[in-house]
Order: sequence, then C-alpha cells, then structure tokens
Amino acid sequence: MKDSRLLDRDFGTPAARSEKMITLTVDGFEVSVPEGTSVMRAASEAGISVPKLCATDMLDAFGSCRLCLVEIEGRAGTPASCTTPVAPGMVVHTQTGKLKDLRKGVMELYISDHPLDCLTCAANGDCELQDMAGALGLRDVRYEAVDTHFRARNAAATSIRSGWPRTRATRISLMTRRNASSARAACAPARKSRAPSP
Amino acid sequence: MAAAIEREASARNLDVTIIRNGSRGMLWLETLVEVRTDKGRVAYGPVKASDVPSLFDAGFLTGGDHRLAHGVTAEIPFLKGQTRLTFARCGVTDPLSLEDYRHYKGLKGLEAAVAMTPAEIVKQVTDSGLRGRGGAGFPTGIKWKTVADAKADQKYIVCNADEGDSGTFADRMIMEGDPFVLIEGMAIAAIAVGATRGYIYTRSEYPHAIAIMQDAIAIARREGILGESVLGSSHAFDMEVRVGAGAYVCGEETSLLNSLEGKRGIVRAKPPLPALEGLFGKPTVVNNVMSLASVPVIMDRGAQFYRDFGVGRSHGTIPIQLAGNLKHGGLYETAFGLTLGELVNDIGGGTISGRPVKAVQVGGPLGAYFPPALFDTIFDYEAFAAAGGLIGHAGVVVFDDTVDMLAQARFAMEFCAIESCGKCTPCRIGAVRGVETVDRIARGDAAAIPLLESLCSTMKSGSLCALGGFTPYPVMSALTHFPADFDRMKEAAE
Ligand code: SF4
Ligand code: FES
Repeated sequence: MKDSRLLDRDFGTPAARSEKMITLTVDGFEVSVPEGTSVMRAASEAGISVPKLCATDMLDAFGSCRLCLVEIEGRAGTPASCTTPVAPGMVVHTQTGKLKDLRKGVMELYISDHPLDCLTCAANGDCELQDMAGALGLRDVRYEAVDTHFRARNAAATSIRSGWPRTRATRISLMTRRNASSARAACAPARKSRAPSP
Repeated sequence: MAAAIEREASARNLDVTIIRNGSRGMLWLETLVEVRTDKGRVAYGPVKASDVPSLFDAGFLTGGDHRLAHGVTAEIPFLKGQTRLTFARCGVTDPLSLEDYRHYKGLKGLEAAVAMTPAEIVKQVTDSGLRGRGGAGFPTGIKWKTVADAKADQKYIVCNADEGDSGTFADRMIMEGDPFVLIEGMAIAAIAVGATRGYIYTRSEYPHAIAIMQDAIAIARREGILGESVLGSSHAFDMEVRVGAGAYVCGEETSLLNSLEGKRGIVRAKPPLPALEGLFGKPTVVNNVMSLASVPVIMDRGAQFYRDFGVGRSHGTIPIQLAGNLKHGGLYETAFGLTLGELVNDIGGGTISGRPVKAVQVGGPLGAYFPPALFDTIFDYEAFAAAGGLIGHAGVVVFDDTVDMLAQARFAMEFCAIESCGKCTPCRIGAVRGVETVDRIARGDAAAIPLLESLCSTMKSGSLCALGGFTPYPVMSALTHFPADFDRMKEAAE
C-alpha cells in the first residue's frame, strides 16, 4: 500500500506553467522551479517532503491544515508553504525546532478531535492522518476533549455551545478534498467520522 | 427628546429650530442638548425628556444655569484636550447637510485631489505617515501605491466598516455624525488608484449608520460629488453600502471580500494580496473607516501638517474609544503619545464604580489586558507591540477589581470558538480546546496551565489570520499579569 503512494507521488500543489524559472534554497539545497510554484512544491521537487494534510497537486492550495508551515529568512512568522509562492533567492527552512513543535501542536489538536478507533478502522495502515501523526512524533494528546465534532454530531443539535457546525463543515470539506486527492480509497478521517462514536 | 423640546416650546409659544447632529463623543453626557447662544454653543446633559420643562424654566435657550449645564461645549475639558482632525465636524454639524459640511471645510481635500495627479495624491498620503487604523497599522500610502501601480480594467475601493471590536464605536460615530467625510475620503482614494466603484461594508447591527450613509451617498450623487464626473473632473466614482450579518471574522479583509462577493466569509490565504487580486479578483484598496476619514484633512492641510502630530513612527491622531467601567467614557481623538494611565485615570476619570482599576483591555477582544503597573505604556503602535499588546481599532475597555481574569481568558477562547471562520486547525479546534483547558485550570488542575501556554503558542504562530493568531494575547496577558486568578488550588484551600 505504501508503495503505491510512492508511485503517484503528490507534489502538494499543481505545477506552475510559467517559462520563467526561479531559483531558491530549501534546507540548503538549491532548486529552480517555474515562477508561480509554491514553496511546498519546490521543496518536493528538491526531494524534501513537507508535512501536509489539506494540499494535493490536483487542487489549488487552500491553506487550512497548517501542518506545512515553514520559515523563510527575512519574513516574519511561519507561512504555509502550500500557499506561498517562491521568490528569487528565497531561503526556506522546512525542518527547525520551532516548526517541529508547531506542527506537533497542530497535529495534537487534530487528533484531539478524532475518535480513538484506529485499530478497528478499515483504513488502518493506509491513512494520511495516521502517517502524519507518526511522522510528527505525536504520541500523547494532552487535552481532555469534551466538545468534538463526532460527539457533537450525535448529541442533540441544540446542546453544543462551541460552534461545531463549522468544525464539521470544515471537516467535510477536508474529507471531500482528501477523496478528490486519491482514487485509492476514501481517507481515514472520512471513514472514521462515519463510525459510531464512543 | 427632540419631540419633548418641540412640544414644550410650542406650549410656551417659543420659536426654536431643532437640528439633530451627531454625537460629540462624550457618552456620559448623552443625551446632550446644545443651545446656540452668543457665548457659543452651550451644553446640557445628560438630559432626559422629563428634564425638559425645568430646562425651559431655567432659561436654557439663552444659556441659563441648570444642574445639567456644562457651559460652553468646546470648553468642556474632555473636548478641549482633544485634537480633532478626523472628527472635526462630528457632533457639530447636521450630518446630512452638505451646506454644513462645506461650511466646516468639507470637500476641501477632494477639491485639492482633483487638481493633482494620482501619483501626487499617493505621495501626499504616504508622506503624511497615515497607517491603517483598523488594527494592523500598515502604511496607507504604500497600500494605495500597490493598487495604483497594478494594471487592470477595474479597481475597487472597499471601506471596512465592519466595526466589531468590543468597546469601539468610532466608525459608527463617523457614519452617523459626518458621513460625507467618509465619502470624500473614498473618492480621494478612488482618484489616487484609478478605481471607479466603492463599497462600504458594514454590519446589520448598525441600522442608523446604514440609513444615514445611504442618504448621504444619494445626496453626494445628486450634487456631483459621486457619479460620472467627480466634482466636474474626468474621474468617475460611485459607491454603495453593503450590509454583512455581523460575523466578527468578516472584519478581516479577505473574509470581508468573500462576504462582499456573496460567498461565505472565510479567510483567504495571502498572497495574493487584495491590493493585487481583491474584490472579484481585481486590485482593491481595503481601508478602515478611520483611515479613509482621515484622508480629507491630509489632502486639505498637507502631509506635513498631519505628520507633525504623534510620536515615533505613529503619526497623526487616533480616535481612542474609552469604554467599560469608566466615569467619562467616550471618543477621545488625540495625537499618539499619551500614556495608558493618562487615558484611563485623567481623561476617563477612573472607574464609575469607584473601585480600583484592575485591568484594561486595549484593541478589542483580541487585545491584551494591561495591569495598572503598565500604565506608563505610550499609546502608539510600537510601544504597544513592545509591551505584548496591540492598539487595534483603539478601543480601551476598563475593568475594576471585581473582574476574574480567568473568566476573561475563557471568554477570549470562547469568543474565538464562536467567531472562528473554521478554516484552519489551530483556531477551529484550538479555541474549543482552549475553553476546556481554562475550565480545567478553574477546577484546580495546575498541569493545565503549561498546556494552555503551549496551545497559545500553537495558535499564535499556526493560525492563518489574526482571529486565531491574536486570541493568545488576551489569554496570555491575563495569565502573565494576573497569575493569582489562575491559582484555583490555593483559592479552594483558603
Ligand atoms: S485563524 Fe480562525 S478565523 Fe482565521 S482563518 Fe483560521 S479558522 Fe478562520
Ligand atoms: S498543506 Fe495544509 S496548510 Fe499547507
């Protein structure tokens, strides 16, 4: 299963069409890509995979999962590599201590909103969410989640105070994106949210 | 009130003309009744309809003394201490009288602008040092230049009037009290960047502002200020008011643009910048009401005049909105540079409850809480950033010592959870976890405190926009400056 993923390698964002080439540095490697290419794709061309959940090269970048954050010298903050276009001479770092913590923190939030039924899930072992959690070294979830989208769905629609319809809406849009991204199978989050919750 | 005065006057056979003007911004004196006398305008307030007969008895029509009398309005210390550039006419004129507007130097800026080249206008605004009054403090002139330099068949001016910060009312005061200044500012922006259409995006909670703006636009159109030929020039510009449903996140510029396009108000990733691909994919100036309403005076009096106000890199004046537990709440326009303590204690007069101030939140629901120990912080963009806060839309909300800062931290997270556009994970899920984590602390779970800190740093650096990214400001400032409120173990033990 893992092998098939290697075959249809996902560059994260669609290829840019420009004739003009831009050269930048990603983690010390120089890479040249057409103007308009995302930092994520440029990294991917250089053989560096940046963590991601909401991006795929069949769709325009959306910038919602926040796992693909990178640091760019001379720029404030941690922009998302999928929505940031390359610029000449840009120096990008995709693996720093800060980014590691940040991505792990975001992943922890994802998992805190996810039912713990991986072992009985049909997508077990072929799941990007699982892969990412592993790749980012997430072992424990420190939160004691009370409001989750799956619990909220089963509860009476009136009882929840924290805006779950939005949570669910985004999840569904994420699911749709995931499904579009891969003909292999519906992805784990999609499957799992259909499972009965505890 | 107007009806009560009218009734009383006709009962006494007196001839009075009543003009409904905007607010002067001294909210503790509202309803404020001013009488034009030979001494100037004299103020009475706060007046209730039941006070009207006694005002007549006291001869208020000639400035007679009364327990609600405050003497000449312009001499009231709260007003006298101000530097009113943007709000020069607000509360003085009849909002919908173009004659009044002209009489008080209105349209001078636009007249100057039509005689200049677009590049000259952009330069003048850039030189004035005007920075976005909506929150981010981005230089207005630079934004305009980007739009002006972009090539497109259509460009837009969008005025962000989605005033949603707690304790803010400056935009509303301008729209209700001096709508023409906003129209003038937008027309100048349009000429500067080559835009022909403008939109004011405001919220349904502002029905009076909407109605007055619409009337003012109709008048401006009739009088040739808007339309095919702005003030007889070769520039065309027209505008309209659009009403949003009041989602806080729609004050974020890209979310606002989506809403304006009729889509769900969800934040867009930048780039592309709205200045290059904004409304309907066209180059768009998105400016706050305060920024646009400050443009006419800059065009009229010159860049240097405006620039000379303020301190450091914060030039000009800022309309500060004093609210919360304060004796003298209201709008105070002044040059940058006062300290927070001066604003709260001297100008605001301290708390109305008479209890000591415990915390002051500056910059709306996403702004930091300041303890009195930080009252020497200077009110400008840089000083506030250095103190771990932000000015935002310059709303100042004061709390006395009965406030529970843990509850305020919880509120910030809850606010974020409710108002989140739902696009990105740190904000969408993080805010919900934030509420739960604060609840754990409230139950005495001290281990949840570092977790809250870690969550805040994830939200701060990981979120796509300021809603998720700035929610940590109120939370962390509450935690840092008021740790005792988070120590529920001790409280339970006591
Ligand atoms: S931070 Fe919140 S409001 Fe802003 S884009 Fe993300 S989910 Fe939307
Ligand atoms: S991959 Fe999700 S934000 Fe970039």
